[in-house]
Amino acid sequence: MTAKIHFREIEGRSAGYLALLAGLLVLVGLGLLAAVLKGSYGHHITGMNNQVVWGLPHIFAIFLIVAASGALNAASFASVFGRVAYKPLARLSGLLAMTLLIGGLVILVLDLGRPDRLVVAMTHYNFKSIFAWNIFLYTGFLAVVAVYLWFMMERRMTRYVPVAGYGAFLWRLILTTGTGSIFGFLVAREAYDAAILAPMFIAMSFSLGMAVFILVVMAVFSGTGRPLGDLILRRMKNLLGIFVAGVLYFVLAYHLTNLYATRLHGIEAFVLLNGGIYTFLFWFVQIGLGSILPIVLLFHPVWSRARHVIAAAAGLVIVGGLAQLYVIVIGGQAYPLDLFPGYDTSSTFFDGVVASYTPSLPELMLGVGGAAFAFLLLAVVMKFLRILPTSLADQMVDPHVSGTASTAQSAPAGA
Amino acid sequence: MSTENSANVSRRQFITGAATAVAGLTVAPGVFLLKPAAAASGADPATRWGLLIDTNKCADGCTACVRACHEENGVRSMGRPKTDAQWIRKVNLTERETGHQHSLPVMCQHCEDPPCVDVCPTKASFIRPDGVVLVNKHTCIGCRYCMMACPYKARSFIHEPLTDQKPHAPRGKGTVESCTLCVHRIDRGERTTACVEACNKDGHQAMVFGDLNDPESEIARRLREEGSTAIRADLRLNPAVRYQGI
Amino acid sequence: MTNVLRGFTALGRALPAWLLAGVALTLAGCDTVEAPSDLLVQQARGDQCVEPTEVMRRDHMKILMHERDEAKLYGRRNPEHSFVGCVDCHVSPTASRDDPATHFCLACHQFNAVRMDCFQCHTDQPSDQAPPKRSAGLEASIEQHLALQAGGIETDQEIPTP
Repeated sequence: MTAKIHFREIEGRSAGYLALLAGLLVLVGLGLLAAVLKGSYGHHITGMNNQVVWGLPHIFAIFLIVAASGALNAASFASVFGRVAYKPLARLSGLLAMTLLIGGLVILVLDLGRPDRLVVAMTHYNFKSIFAWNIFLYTGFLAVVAVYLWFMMERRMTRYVPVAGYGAFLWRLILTTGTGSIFGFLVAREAYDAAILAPMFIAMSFSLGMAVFILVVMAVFSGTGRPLGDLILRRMKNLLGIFVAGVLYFVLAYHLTNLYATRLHGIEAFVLLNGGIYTFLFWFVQIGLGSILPIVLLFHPVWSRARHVIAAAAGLVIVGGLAQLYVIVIGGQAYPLDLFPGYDTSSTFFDGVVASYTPSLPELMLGVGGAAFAFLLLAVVMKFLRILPTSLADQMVDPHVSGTASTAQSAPAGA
Repeated sequence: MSTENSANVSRRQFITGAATAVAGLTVAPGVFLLKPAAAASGADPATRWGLLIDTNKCADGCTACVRACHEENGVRSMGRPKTDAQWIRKVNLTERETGHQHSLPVMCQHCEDPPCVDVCPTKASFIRPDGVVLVNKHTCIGCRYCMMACPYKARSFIHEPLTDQKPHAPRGKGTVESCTLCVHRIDRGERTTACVEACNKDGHQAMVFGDLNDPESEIARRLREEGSTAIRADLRLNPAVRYQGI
Repeated sequence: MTNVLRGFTALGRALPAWLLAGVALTLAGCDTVEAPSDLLVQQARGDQCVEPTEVMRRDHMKILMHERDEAKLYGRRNPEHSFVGCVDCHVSPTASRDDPATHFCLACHQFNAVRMDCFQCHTDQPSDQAPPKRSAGLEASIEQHLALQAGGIETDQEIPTP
């Protein structure tokens, strides 16, 4: 029998914790400042323009939303796939999923040209638009995971946890399909209009969600001094490696298919060969730093035992994910629309030329502010609710591990 | 006790009745506002407004249509070309194989199956019964998804606060806009747009405006007799703006 | 759990004090606003408004929203309730958005703190040209609209035709 899992609020009185809250508050404040400035002066203070309409804030927002869906992994492994080892982490998984999604939504809403019309957006729906569906999917996800979390924390409702877990798992799959379909449904642009984008986003959600989750678990357990055993960490890092490989598979399938179509050679050459910053981000950051290096690090028999290596690999996956979104969202817009195949075009409206886009400070402030808000919520809620297990030492995770052996192994504050 | 009960019942009945009456009074005005759909004024669904552009007559370097449109609708440059709105622009084409050059104006193509209408989450981007594709700026939240979806890059987003708008062409910060096919003129009964008027006045006669569904109209006759193409016709959007010579 | 409750009750006891302080600071930061004067109504050009003052005071937003949707979505423009007409008649050419007392709409809206965003897109400069002559199409449109009002179809209120 596994030892009983105890959950306890974090103390939240140390200087480190207060400094963290203060730092996150500052970042959130900067994000709000950026939103207010944008509301007064208009979007011209950002780098977004009529050619590249979605920029850095959207990269952050989509990252947070995709990672939110993936952060629910641990809870799903416990409730849906019956992996008992993940049960202690299920509550943190659910809470992180909610806060990441809220952070992403905040960025999206504040970046709107008319954020004051949010009520209009919530009362006028065009059900042919995947955007309208996403509004339901995102808010519904918050509700479903809130119920799931409540069931996990309420003794009377624990027998309904598997049902809620299945519901949340299905919901996140549909939600991430919806997010990928935002681009997959667009016939206008050559980089989009592909059915594979939806499953690719699902694969990204597994990979990015796992990476964020690993880093959050390591940071929180190290910060609160609670023991984090190697067993659970090893399981998570192996999964992360598999998920990164999964994303790589979808990227490969996408590009190989595109390369087969002559009409798409332009966009493929742009991304893979001569797109400047986009080519650099694709090969060096997304593929190199974000996919191949993490897989090597995570599956290396010796290196992968060290915690700082695992953390570094997770960090690299996140950087690679951001680069991937940059190439998809911004690269896809920067490449000119082909209105007249076979012709070179030019105009005063930037037809026929690769659109230039430089991320601006207000955009970075808004994006980082949203992410900071997500982590601020997490930090505050963990202080008031029993989200975090008291110990993830190996004997808590796996009943077959004996006490003495694991106490020698499990190192509390981040080794 | 029985008198108490009967008093309670009647009080309950009174409150229920009053609540129903108040609810009815609140709902009733909305019910009465539902007019029958057959009100024939306004945009006529039997009409379909469109443009025919003969690019052979379109002069290189001439921007009369662009200047006229922007003058008519109060579209001004803010000195920031990347974020300046453009409702219509002249595109210069050079054929890669042969070097042949010509130019033509491109604006919102007023598709019959507009992708911008499909993707708009609030139905702000909509198609009027007479085929004109518009942005209802009262409902537009400025998400710019329609700009991503438009295959013709026809739409612009307003990146700064505006003043001095034309009374017939309201435009404001944070909303999306594009060529309106001069609906303010159509609704006044005029049968020409600013761009067509300017092109004719300049003597090029490259553009024709009219009702595509009226077989007697000049545009329908010319489309029937001379033929035409659409930009990105493979997308099957059936645009109302047709070109000759591309 | 009891720790949490203790923390909350401590916060709860202090809350009214914080709220009061917040309200006091907010009120202290507000400027005084003058009530709008009747002078603005008298400055309007033309003999009378398209509707009686009491009707307008009560229902102008309903009329505006209704006509707005009709005009935008269906092209059914009613020149009797045209927004451009309102601005032409009521807003003075020298009105300024920085000085709400001179601006017909902003004077009341600022005083009552009712938010309106019409002028983010619509101009509040009255046009100095005479309205264009009505074409046959527009005359027909007006006929239809008045016929709908008069015969058989009830509208949300009795709009007396002037």
